[in-house]
Amino acid sequence: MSDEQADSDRANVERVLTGETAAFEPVVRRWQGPLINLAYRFCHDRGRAEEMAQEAFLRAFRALGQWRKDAAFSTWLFALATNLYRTEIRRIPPLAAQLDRANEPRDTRAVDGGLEDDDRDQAVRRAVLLLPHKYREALVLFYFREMDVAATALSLSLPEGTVKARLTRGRNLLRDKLAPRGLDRARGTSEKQEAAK
Amino acid sequence: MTNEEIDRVLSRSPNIIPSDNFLGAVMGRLEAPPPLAFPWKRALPGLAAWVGVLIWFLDACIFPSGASQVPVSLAMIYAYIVTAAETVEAGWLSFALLLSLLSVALSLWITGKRASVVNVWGRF
Repeated sequence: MSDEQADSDRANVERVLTGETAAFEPVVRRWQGPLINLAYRFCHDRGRAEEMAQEAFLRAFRALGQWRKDAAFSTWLFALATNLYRTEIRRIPPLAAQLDRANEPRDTRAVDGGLEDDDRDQAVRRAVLLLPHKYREALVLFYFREMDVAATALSLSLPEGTVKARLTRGRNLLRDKLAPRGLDRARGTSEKQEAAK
Repeated sequence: MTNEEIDRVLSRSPNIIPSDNFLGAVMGRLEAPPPLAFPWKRALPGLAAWVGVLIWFLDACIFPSGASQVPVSLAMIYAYIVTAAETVEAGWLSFALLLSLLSVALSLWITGKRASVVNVWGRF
């Protein structure tokens, strides 16, 4: 994020703190996309992601006075949103996985029995939702933070070593969950398609 | 699947564009008048009356004959509490409360489990 954006956020927040509620609009406009996308990674449900992001903005608005300004506003906002999303997802686990699946055509397998690449990608993303909380949260935030372990550790308020361990264990669990779905065959399919080209 | 493949898949999550009314909805909720505070001043007489009735009811249960005794020593207080507990059958009350709590906890646990089972069933 540029210094200009950080300054703009700071100025808007100060205006809000003086009672000008409308000054929060540019803040919402700037951060709505990232906050909704982060929520979506937790629940894979667009409607719920928007609801969670909306709640995050409301809580941020009410707690603006608690922002100490020693860190960037975005860092504070994301920490608040991440905590809210984690709590919310623990309270009501995402049901998107099976709902999405119910809308899919039943036989999405290729001729040789492997899954197509898109299906495989979706299967991997949905499998993340089925991991235990601590591994799911680590993986979701790690990839949202563009594979930055330090930023992930900061978001989770955990030491980097713990985050690395959870990422490793999370990936292993993910592989275990995906193994019975024939993903190796899917890879074989893709390779054959590549070779045919 | 290798770590690189997992990295590749999970790095490119779909980009969700906020719906057109998202900004308006957030600002609408911010600008809405705050929820009304609980009217403690108006509720106070009612609460006082409720507490009074509760005290009267307990007194009537514990001392049905109206022969109230004021405990003066620790032993008497203990005896008073034991007698009161026996009179209102505190053991059964505690048991009933515990049973209620357990049934609520069991329901929540079963609901959570069922959600997980549905998840797993839908996935595989």
